[in-house]
Amino acid sequence: MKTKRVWTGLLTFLFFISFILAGLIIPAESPAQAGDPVAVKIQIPFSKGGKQGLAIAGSEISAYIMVENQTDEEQNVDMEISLPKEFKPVDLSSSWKMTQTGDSYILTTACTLAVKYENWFDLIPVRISSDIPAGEYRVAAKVKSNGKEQKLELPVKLATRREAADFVKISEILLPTDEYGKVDPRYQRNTLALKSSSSSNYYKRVITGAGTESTAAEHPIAHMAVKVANKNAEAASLLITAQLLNPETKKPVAGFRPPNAENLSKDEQDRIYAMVKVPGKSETLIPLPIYGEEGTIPTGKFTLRTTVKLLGSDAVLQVKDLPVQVVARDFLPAVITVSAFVLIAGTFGIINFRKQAFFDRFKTRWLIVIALFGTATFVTVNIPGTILWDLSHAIFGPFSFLITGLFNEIILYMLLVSLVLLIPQPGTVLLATVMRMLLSGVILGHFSPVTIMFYSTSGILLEVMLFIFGITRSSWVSRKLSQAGRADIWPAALVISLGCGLADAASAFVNFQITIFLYRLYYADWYILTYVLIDGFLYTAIGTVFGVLLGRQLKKVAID
Amino acid sequence: MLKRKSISVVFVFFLLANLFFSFSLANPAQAAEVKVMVDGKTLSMDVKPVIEKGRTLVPLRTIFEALDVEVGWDEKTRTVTAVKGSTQIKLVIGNTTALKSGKSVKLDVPAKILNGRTLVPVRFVSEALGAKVDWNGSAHTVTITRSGGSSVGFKLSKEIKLEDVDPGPITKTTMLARGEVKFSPNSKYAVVGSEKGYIRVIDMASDEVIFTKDMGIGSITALAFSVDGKRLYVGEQSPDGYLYCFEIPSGKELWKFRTADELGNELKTESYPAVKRILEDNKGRLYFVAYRSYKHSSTNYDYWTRVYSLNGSTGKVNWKFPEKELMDVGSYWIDITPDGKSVAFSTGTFGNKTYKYPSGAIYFLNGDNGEKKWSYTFKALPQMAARFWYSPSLSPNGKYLSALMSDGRGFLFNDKGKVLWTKAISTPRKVSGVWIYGSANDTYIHNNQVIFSIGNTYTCVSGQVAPAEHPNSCCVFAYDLKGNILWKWKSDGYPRRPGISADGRYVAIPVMNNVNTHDLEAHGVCVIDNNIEGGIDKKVFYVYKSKTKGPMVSADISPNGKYIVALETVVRLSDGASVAGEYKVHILKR
Repeated sequence: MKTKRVWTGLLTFLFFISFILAGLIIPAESPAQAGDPVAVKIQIPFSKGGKQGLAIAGSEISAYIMVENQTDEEQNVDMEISLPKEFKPVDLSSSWKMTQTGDSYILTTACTLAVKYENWFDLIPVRISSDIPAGEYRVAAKVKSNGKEQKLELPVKLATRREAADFVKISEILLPTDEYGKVDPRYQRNTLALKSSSSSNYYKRVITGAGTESTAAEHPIAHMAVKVANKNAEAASLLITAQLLNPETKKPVAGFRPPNAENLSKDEQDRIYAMVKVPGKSETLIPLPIYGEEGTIPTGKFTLRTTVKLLGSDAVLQVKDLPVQVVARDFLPAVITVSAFVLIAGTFGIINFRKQAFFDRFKTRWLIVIALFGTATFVTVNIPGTILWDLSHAIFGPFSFLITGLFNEIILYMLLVSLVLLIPQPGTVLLATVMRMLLSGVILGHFSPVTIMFYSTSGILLEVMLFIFGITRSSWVSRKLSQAGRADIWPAALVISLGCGLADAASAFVNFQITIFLYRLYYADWYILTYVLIDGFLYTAIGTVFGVLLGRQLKKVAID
Repeated sequence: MLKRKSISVVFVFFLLANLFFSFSLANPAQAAEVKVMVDGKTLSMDVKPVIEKGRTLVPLRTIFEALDVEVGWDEKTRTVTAVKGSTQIKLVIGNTTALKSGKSVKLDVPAKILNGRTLVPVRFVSEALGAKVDWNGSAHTVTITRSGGSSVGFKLSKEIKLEDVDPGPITKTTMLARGEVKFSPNSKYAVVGSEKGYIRVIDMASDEVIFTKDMGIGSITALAFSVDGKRLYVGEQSPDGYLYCFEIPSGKELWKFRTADELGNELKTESYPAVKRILEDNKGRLYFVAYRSYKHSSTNYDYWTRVYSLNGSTGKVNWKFPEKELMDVGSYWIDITPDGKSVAFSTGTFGNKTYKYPSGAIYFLNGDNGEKKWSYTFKALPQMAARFWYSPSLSPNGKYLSALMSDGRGFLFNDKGKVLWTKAISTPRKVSGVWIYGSANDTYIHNNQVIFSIGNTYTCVSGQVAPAEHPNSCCVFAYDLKGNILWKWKSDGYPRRPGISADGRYVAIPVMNNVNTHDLEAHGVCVIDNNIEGGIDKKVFYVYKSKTKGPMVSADISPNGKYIVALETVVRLSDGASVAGEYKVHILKR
């Protein structure tokens, strides 16, 4: 009995063990675990990665479909794409056949991929209805290759334009910047400074041993940077467009265009583009090169319109306008400053070299009168000007010259011209100006290389004009001024007014260029013109007329 | 009762027997023949491989010869010794402990002798020598692939650091410090032309620079050796635009030809002549194109261009094309047949001015006298101007000419100027109103294959980088002469013009930066062995990556296929601060 039980148990044990082991050990011919013969990629819109597509109501997007052979064998591929009825394909290429069911559009095509990595792809323009509810829609693909079928589905999130505009935001536009997006401190913000090429590059390369380079790849004329905030978790591929617009007409300014833009249609020109990928949940600084025709882009005030689109879609997510100033780098200030320096150095150098001959032409009492007039101009012009300058500037701003010019120009020239009528010698005005400069320096502390240049150019230019216009030499003007009756002096007075006006206008212009060059300041052309015409010419001319009248009166009582 | 017991016993017996036989048959490899493939080639063996305990054993001599390994046999100790490079393995017959470079390794099955042949475990041996081993159970195939690493294929012999250069941005290829490397036809020397105008000639036997020449302010634009390897031709872009001829190995200047005499120069506008692509035929005649350009605006360029044939020994002009005047379009590329009977060059311009000579044209000349046989002018796609970069290419017999337009269209012509076929390889596609394309660069005809090489993705206007790649960017396509695609290779970076060994077997492709992905791992040199059967992935048998991860701007393989010289450059990464790469030359040998 016991033996029987043992034997039964053993058999049972063996029986079950056999089954168990049989199940484990007997191998099944496992089917070959081959990978998919073709890789299928769907992106909505094109370039959007991740597991979800994105579409914006009322826009046109590019749906991207690609199949790629993953084997060394030829693959005959049949594709069927199913789009929801709200996603209408437009302008389909002839390689697709389209049918419409109640709920969807079915697109079919076929291709042959002969070798590994050979691909077939298409960008299908799809118009999204504008009146459909936001939510998730599905795009499905069925791909058959050499008998094997793959099915894919891409959920596509549909957003309204308002929702889409929240995805990305332009938080800031920086201009000008360097190529990495760092603000360039050399220029005012929101200034587009046009660079011009120069042959200094050649010498720089020779010195650094970098070799020569002729017309290399297209280089931007400036850079800007756009800070874009992406609230989504996924990266966003964006198209950023910038245009310079006329602030009044809002029409694009010509010349603001990238290289080879002549190949684009007319309405695509005159704007610059950048395609960028902005990481998710981040604020990214995107440097943008600005290309343009330097000879064509005008200087002045414009509106820089920056537009953000989702790449692969025509929906505009955001538009931001920024007023900008376009300025051109100008070598004129440098040239004029250097020329002024040379003129001043030359003039005083010659005077120093021939100082004996220079001063021998002046009688002692003339020098005293000159010194007195110099002092008078200091007291009547410099002191009130210094006291009132800040006040007038605070009240009148940059147009304070209209008020202070009444002192600086009218009274100054009234005194200087009356002096030169008393002592019609070359050098008279220059000496008075030097006197005024010295007093200003000693008493008011206005003593710097720049102020020396201002006074000196003013004095030298006035001397030159007075000589040219015949006031400090023998001419009909000087004779009329000294001999004629009051009624007859007007022609001469007009001539001297013109001469002085031109001299002061010129010296005002030169002083502006010196300031621009040495202090890296910027003045609008119209401002300089206004200053030169009013403060430089008009007030001077008025002061000159008074000076002629005063001078003639003083002559009557002057000694000698 | 006894009957029931007997039935039970028999039943259990059959179950166990089934188990036993199933288990025996469970390893199908033992019944079916095992195939062994090395780098795509099936090994032929006089003794068939066997499988023991799940491990495949193969004849020693066959596998070691296939892996290019030195084998030794010690009869006394019954020890097999295999050496490859710095790796040594030792197997003792019947011993499950093996040695790999002195370290003990436990084996599942020992080496054994069967039918007078020594069999060794294939996985251990192959993996120990740096190869990859795959087992395909359904096909009963062991696949061994030798790739990567320096222990097989080519090995780094030396790095030669060059002068300091400024790193260019990783988002641009044109702003990186460039250069060119070239081997002499006898494989004895390699020349490196660097960004700052230095020429260095390297002796491949010693890896030493035997002479260095500072070309002054010129940028080196073309390099070539004479067919006999005794002369080195150097073209530059400079105010003089010289083509120099130096004697090798002394470095003595034999003659120079000044292209500025005809093309002119303008110092203040930095408009200098450049010599492009020098070639010598087997009769010692030299061919090159020289051009100068000046940009007035983005739509208005002036050009002065000519094609020259000189006597390579003396520098005297054989002929010029055009003979009497300069062409007012640019040209950047020329090709010849080895006998010099056929010469082809292309034209291209920027801007949209009307020129006397057509832009986007191919010219086919008689190499003996420079007479035009035919020309073909391409009509540009609407989005892009018609121009060529490194096109055209002539087949060695002169019967075919391939061309790759910058708009991504590839063409094959016959020698009469007839278009045999056209391929739209990386043509522009419009995305959000902006056209993007894969930059179409190189074409060459090699081994009756027409190769087209596509670079990075850019927008059609301004050449800006697009955040999404054209599907065919950074790829190399090969077609047969009938236009059937033979293979397509996908690179992670920008494949530049390759060096090809004289027998056409090896192709060394330098890979530069991918301006979209900025992937540093993409940089390197990929070597294709055309003798490997199978798909392109199998043919790429060796990939070299520099430790400093810079893009490779140029590479060449010696005509004898034994050496590779590659030029690495420096690149500034997208954070604006970090830098990858070094400006240096890599010498690889096998």
